[in-house]
Amino acid sequence: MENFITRRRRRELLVAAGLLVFAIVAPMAVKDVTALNVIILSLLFAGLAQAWNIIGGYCGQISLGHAVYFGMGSYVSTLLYVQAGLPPSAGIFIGGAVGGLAALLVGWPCFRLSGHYYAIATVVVGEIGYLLFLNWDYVGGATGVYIPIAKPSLINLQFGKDKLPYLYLTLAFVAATWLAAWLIEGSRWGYAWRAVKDDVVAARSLGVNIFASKMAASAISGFFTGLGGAIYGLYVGYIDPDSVMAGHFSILIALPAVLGGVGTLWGPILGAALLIPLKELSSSYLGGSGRGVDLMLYGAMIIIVALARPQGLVSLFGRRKHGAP
Amino acid sequence: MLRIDGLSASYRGLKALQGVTLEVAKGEIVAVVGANGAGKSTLLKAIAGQVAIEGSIAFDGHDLRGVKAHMITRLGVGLVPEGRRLFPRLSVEDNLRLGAYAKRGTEDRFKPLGLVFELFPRLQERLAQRAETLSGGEQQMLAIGRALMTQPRLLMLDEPSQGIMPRLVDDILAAITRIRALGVTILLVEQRLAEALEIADRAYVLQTGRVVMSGPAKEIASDPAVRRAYLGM
Repeated sequence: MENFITRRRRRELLVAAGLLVFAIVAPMAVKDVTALNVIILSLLFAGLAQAWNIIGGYCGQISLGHAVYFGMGSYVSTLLYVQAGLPPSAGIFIGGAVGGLAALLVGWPCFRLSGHYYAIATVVVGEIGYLLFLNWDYVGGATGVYIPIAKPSLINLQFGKDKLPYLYLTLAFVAATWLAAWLIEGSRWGYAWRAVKDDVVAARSLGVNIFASKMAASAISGFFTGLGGAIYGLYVGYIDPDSVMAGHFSILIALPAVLGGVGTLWGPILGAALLIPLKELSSSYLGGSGRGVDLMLYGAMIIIVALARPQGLVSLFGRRKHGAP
Repeated sequence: MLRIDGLSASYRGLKALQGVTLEVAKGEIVAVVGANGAGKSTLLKAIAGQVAIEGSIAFDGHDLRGVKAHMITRLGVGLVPEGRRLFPRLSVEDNLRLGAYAKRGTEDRFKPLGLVFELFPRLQERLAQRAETLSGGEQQMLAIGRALMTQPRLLMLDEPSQGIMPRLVDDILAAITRIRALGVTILLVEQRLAEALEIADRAYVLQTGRVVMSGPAKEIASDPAVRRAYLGM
């Protein structure tokens, strides 16, 4: 019984290691700055979608407010740097921790709601977060915060014009979130969360603490989302509520996972690999009017996937991932 | 082992149980029979902590009132819920592993697995299959197996014969008898009167939320008044 599982899980780990090596080597040949930018954003959103997948996919709690954790992470890390001089290499983790804490604070009242009510509550929380930061002068209000340019170094996590280090930074982020999801899949918690997703009553009758399970999943998801937000802030060098906390970020974080396959290890990565390049291409080719078009594209893709492949695009690849609902 | 006194409970606004008093001794099989809507399922849900109650429920000296449902499981009360409530998209194996969830960090958390496979060899054959692909009988076996993985001292079963072909009903009832022989006390809710009373030591007859009769299973099985109560006339 144990062998069957460990064999499958070891294979997944090997595949991931292979892909990681490829992802380290291949970009060295890419010299085009625009292409590198698309790859970096795709990696970032692959990691964010994986973070969302931990609460939304494995635990089944659909959050449409993840932009708040994302924004918190980038604000905390940025402000610690700007106001207190804390190097971003440490700041991003504090940003992540604050993201996780925020997720716990949101979860405390909201996990008493179930199903659709939880999703709606997170939309409201997202809006509140956005408005709060928009009107809060200490954090720059609507003007936002610039990240001062520093000497390129690992401590500052700034690399000047060189894109490749940023790519590796986001790659490390994806690897970390994937590894977290992989560990969760095989853990006692992972089983409990999938039970909560499937049938709350049955889970409870097996001794699963429903509320604690949701809180734990939410905290881990919030931590990685905050971490991703902090990395994003460093990469773009400037943050304001519109660029890190607006509602469409919540959608953009959830969408790759939904598209690729909710509750699967590879779904979020696959979804981001398709969605983000599409989004970037459509907005660069169509200029200012592009944003509307990529929304239409998302809509069309979701409809097609929902109709043809409700398990997500990952289900196109051979046999279904065992144990992944 | 289990002592219930003056238990009342409402379910969806209806008074489903009114002043129920019931006792289960260690090592017994106790059957609760009654017509649809008599309150049988609510009784099990009340013990499992899933509905609000008045009155008292004591299990092995623990007062269960106000105890959270998941903690009641950890105290050693296992429930095979009505309609089985498996995790349909998880494999048979994962369903069973989830049963061992509450036994954190203990060496022998998967110990009951051997017993489960001995009772239901079919489950071992279907380990990698998704639970939803099992037949009704196999699903019931899995539901019982999953509850056994929680290592209960009291196992409560809610209509284990529901939606199962007759041949398999006998298998399931035989398994229940064997589970008792291993030292697990059984509280069985059934609509199939004859079958339930055959394996039970004692029985309670519920009618519209009240205990109308109780006693040794054999006596109740042969009592014509039971038919009346049972049919709700």
